[in-house]
Amino acid sequence: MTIRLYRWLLHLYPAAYRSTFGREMADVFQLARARAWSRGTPYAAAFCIREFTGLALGAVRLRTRRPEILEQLATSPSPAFDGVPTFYTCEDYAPRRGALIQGSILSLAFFGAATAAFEYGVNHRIFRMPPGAERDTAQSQVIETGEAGFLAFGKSMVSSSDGALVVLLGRQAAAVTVDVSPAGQRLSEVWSRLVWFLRVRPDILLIAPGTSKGPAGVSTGGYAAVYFRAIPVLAAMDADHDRVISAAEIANAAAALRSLDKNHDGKLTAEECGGPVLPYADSQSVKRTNLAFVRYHPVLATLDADHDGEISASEMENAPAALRTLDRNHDGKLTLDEILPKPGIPVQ
Amino acid sequence: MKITSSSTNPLSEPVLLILLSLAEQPRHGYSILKDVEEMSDGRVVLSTGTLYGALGRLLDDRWIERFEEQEALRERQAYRLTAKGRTHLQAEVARMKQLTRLASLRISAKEA
Repeated sequence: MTIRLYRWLLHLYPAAYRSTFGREMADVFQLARARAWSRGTPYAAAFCIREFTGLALGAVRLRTRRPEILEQLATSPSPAFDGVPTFYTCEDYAPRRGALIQGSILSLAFFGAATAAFEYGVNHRIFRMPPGAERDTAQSQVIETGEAGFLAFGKSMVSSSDGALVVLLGRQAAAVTVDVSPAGQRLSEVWSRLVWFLRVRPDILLIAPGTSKGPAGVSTGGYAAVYFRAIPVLAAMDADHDRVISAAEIANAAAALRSLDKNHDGKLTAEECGGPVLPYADSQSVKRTNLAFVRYHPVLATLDADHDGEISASEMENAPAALRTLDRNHDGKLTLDEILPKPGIPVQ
Repeated sequence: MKITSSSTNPLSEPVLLILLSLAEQPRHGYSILKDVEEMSDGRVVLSTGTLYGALGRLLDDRWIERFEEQEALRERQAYRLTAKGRTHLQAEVARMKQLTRLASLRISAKEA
């Protein structure tokens, strides 16, 4: 134990000194330690104190000789390299030529790999997780959406719809609405506007869903309006646009849902429900992301009884009964606190 | 020429003892450590860090040199006094002799 500690503490010394005397010092320490141990505990204790103090003081003494080393460097004649800059280290030795070559090759390889990974990510817009982290794959995708859809990345989601942008921060389940009109522009432009907005408005307001009023007096009405626009299922059911799904609207939910079935295949896909458009992703990624999207939003999760990420014809028919299960206070209608994603629930 | 403190100032006791140890015969680190302790009757016990700090400075000043002992382990380098080191040691001993003589004279004069 003491030998291992001593060897470790030798790293206090400059590398050049260590390479010259390190092994020798450790060897002598080992012999002296055996001798001290054979004399009994008081000698062993005195030995330890003396050795470790001496080691520390020796290192300090050597390190304080650095000005001399710098002086030597400044006064030593430097080789003339025409036009090639030279540089010095503070250590009193020069690295081997082989080490410099190896370091250069490693640096170039690392730089190349990082550049390739970055370019791949930019071109594919999909950052895959290593095997064994499949649970996070859906959370880690960056997906370009259409005019209305969700952009999921990390544990957060971004939605753009009708020129408004919603940022759902998964862990905190907070949201911010940003006006990015005019509508219909590419998400990349929307995103750049958001970045600009965050830069000019560092005091951006975060509105926690489920609360009646956000910070600085911003009502959740604005957030609710954007949320209803971002989730077409809610927009279709909320016929009177009061952000509340009344008993009558619940009863008419099946018809409202069927109106969203644009391709008339008898079911609603996650995309038709406002989910992400995945132009470059493989089928597995699409499935995982759609499931994550549907599970995150309480209304969609309730409607999707078989948890396949889609709302089938039978699930649409059964919508009124399913929606009523969300009515926790049994007042016959669904209010914001029963519809909005719960704080603290991550996107997954 | 770089002038170091060790080449101009009186030697410290540990350094003097290390040089005296090597004056008799070449030694490796642990042998120097034990010899210094024996020469001083256990009064000067060097730590490994102190010993190699002193050896490093003496090597820099070329008062001692390293060499590999025949049939020794690779890390058991041995040290021996150089001609320059021996000269400086003799000068230091002479200085001490003179100091001792002077001290004896002064003390005896006072007693008389």
